[in-house]
Amino acid sequence: MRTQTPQGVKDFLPDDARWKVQLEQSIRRSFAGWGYQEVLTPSFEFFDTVNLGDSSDEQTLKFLDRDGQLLALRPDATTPLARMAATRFRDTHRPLRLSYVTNVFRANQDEVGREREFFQAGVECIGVASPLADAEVIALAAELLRNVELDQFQISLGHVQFFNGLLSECPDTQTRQQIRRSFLNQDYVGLQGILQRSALPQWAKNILAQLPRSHGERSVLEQLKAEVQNQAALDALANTKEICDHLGVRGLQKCISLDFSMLKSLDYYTGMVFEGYAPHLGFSLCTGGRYDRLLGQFGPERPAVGFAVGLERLLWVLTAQGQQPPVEPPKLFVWPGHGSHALRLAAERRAAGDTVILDVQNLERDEVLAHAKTNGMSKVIFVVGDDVKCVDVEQGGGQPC
Amino acid sequence: MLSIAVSKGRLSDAFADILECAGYPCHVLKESTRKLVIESPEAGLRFILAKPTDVPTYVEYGAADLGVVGKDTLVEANKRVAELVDLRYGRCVMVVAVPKAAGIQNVTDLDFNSRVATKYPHIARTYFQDHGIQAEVIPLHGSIELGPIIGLADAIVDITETGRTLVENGLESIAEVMDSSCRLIANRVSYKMKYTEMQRLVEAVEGVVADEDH
Repeated sequence: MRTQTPQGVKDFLPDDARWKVQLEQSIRRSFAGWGYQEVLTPSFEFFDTVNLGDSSDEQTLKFLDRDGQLLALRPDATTPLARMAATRFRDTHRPLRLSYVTNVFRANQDEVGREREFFQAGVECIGVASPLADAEVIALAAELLRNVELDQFQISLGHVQFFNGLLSECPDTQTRQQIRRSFLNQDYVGLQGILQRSALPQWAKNILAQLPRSHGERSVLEQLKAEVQNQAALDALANTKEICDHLGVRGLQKCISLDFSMLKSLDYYTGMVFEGYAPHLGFSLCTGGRYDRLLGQFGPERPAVGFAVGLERLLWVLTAQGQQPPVEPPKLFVWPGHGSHALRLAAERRAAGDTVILDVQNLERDEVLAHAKTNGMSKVIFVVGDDVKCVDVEQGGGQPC
Repeated sequence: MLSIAVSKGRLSDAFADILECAGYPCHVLKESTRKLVIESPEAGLRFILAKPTDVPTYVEYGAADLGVVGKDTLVEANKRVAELVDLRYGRCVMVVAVPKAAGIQNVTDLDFNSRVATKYPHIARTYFQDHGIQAEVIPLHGSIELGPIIGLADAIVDITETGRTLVENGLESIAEVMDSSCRLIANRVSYKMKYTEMQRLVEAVEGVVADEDH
């Protein structure tokens, strides 16, 4: 019998599982506090449904069912939620605020930080195209990271229409793809050569060449605005400025950094995009953006914006900054573990919120304390007839219960 | 403090020279040592001495903020990093070469299912696939030129600086796969989180490289 798990999946032992659950609870409180309702979608769907971006094709874990239909484990949560919103809330015209905490699956192999099964928590705000909705989602991401006591994080904010606007100045499809690939792969050396050979206007070449360095504060917006001669790109800058204004009011300007070189490998984004980073983590911690055309694939087009945070990555960063798994609540041990008096007592203590463990091994009385100590119990309750005695495992002695 | 993964040897010496010119004292990098991590506190740099093929891995995982690696190794490793500066040394060309005696002039003349020995299986497979050539790639770790001599392979894909090793082993280049030179790479998150510190180094290095070119 093989005793290992396949590459890219893992067990959560009690300490890690408890920590993960605690994080999820904190995250769920944040989501609920902003009026996002949790939903569940199936673990697998038709391959055609979840495979919308062509770049995700080989990243999807696919399988056939007995009817020969091609199915896929969900590679992300946003696409299934878009399907759900477009079909099940077809006639809902009010804004929908949905959230999820779920596992997702990818066909990755042999890559740490890119597991085959991993956990994500996120929200989707559907039906509103306003910069206020964009700011709400970013602010919620920031609040979530603060609530789990992450010391330090940065959110980079970009806009895919800015980049698309600049690229539309290039007449040649192949060159456009090459430039896009350079930015996706962050090959800024290769980019310079491609730009020089391209038929882009000089102003666009200059901006694209400098784009990886157009980082940072809001002054970047003014600089770019002075150089850009494309309406879609100018609109993207204006849109970003509005989002920044709303984030400023929320006191978030310090943790926001503008970065218009940010592209996404998922193809469905149509507006602002953002990623969250933390020290000690070589990958992004959370990622999100606006995707106004995804729902149109399943029904009437409706604008939407959302984000997801990676739970394993969050645990990794919290560990790196010195956080420990939450301590287990104290455990009471009841001996003997049978008899109506002992059972009633145990039930009462559980009802009061205690963790109560009944002896199921029929231990001898003189073994009980040693057993309780090695098994992490804090107190033992001896129930002999009507005589109930509570002994502190560390301090000994016996008090009436 | 920034950490930089480099491979010890000729290439790291050349990089140390560039850093010195850029105003980052780092003579420690040229000293003979068995240490795997050496620091230059006055430059605010920590060097991680790694195997060349491991440099992209260290950088991708964020174990190092920056790395110095040949473009050939970088493409082969296929890691998610940011490629910032062409350092313009360690130049070489990756070629497809065949025994002179085979009389093959063009890659498209290679026999169906030709065996190709290489240290760069990923690059070789992609190249042949892009050119519609059916080839069987045989990964080796060194002395690739041996492949055709002992009949293990019909052709090789390897880097060459001057072409001398090829000639000495009776091989000739029939196609160029890519040009290579050393690159300064960065972890994608470090480049955002430590942008100011890194950009200062990147621009200083770029300045030195551009000067030397003229």
